[in-house]
Amino acid sequence: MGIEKTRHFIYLALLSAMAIVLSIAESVYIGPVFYMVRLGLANIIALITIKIMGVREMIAVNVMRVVISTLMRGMIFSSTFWISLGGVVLSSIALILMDKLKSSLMFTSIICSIMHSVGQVIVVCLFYMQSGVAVILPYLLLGSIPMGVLTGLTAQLVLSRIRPLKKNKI
Amino acid sequence: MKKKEWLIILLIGVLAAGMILGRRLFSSSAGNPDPYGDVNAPKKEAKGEWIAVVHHDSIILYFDSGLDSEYTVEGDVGEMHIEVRDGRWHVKDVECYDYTCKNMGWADQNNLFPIICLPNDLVIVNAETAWNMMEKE
Repeated sequence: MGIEKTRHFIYLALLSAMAIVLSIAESVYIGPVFYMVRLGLANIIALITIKIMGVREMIAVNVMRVVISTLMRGMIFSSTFWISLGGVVLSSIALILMDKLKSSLMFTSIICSIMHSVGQVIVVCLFYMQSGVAVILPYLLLGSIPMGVLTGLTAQLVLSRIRPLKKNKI
Repeated sequence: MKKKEWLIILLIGVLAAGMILGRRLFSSSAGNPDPYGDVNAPKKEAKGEWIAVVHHDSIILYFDSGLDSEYTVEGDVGEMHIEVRDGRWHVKDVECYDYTCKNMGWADQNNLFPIICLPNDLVIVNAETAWNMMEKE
């Protein structure tokens, strides 16, 4: 394994670890900001990963984040796991599309945040037969916009500071 | 952010706000509406509003939001304790693994959010909405 490949895996592991820690810290210490609207701090890492490493790495970080954080909280394959996975799958698809369309980081972040909420509601409606939860979708959509701005701003700030790493071909 | 992107976000925001406003304007309050054949539905008028606790596909409890009290219901994982005070209600304690319903805090009749506990498959919602949910199923 070449030094570049080792470095690549180290960065992937570091980003995954950061996403897992943010995900757990948010669910344990912060909780919902407004009813069911959460900050979505782990999305910052997904945004950073796609920008500095690529699509495949972003998917790996997102999947590891959902699986390991729910596993560590003893919720693997529980409702929380499937809802998180639903949100992450849809937000990852949106992130890939936005990246291909060369959208701005802020717009990508807002769309991802919205898609995350939509994905979660779809899972609850379809798999848990709780159609009543669709009532909260407009509130989640509205709440997702400021949360997306917040995560987008943070990712922008981080990317401006770690840009030199990009030149080293992570 | 480009102008087109701002417009898309604005459109989503307006659409979501429109849906919330529309629902607030067109949803009537449940004083004592038609219970859609639910034999256990309360017959008398509530002091506040009739609130239903739905478990799976059936209503397991009705409570009056105008009467201060505490109720306990059994879900799939464990018990849920509901407290009603000053026309508002919340999940005081619950036996489950994520406590989202407890963290949702107090709800009242102006609040259109149902309190949902997915691990226990319990939904606390006004009776009229609960009957609508039953009818659709």
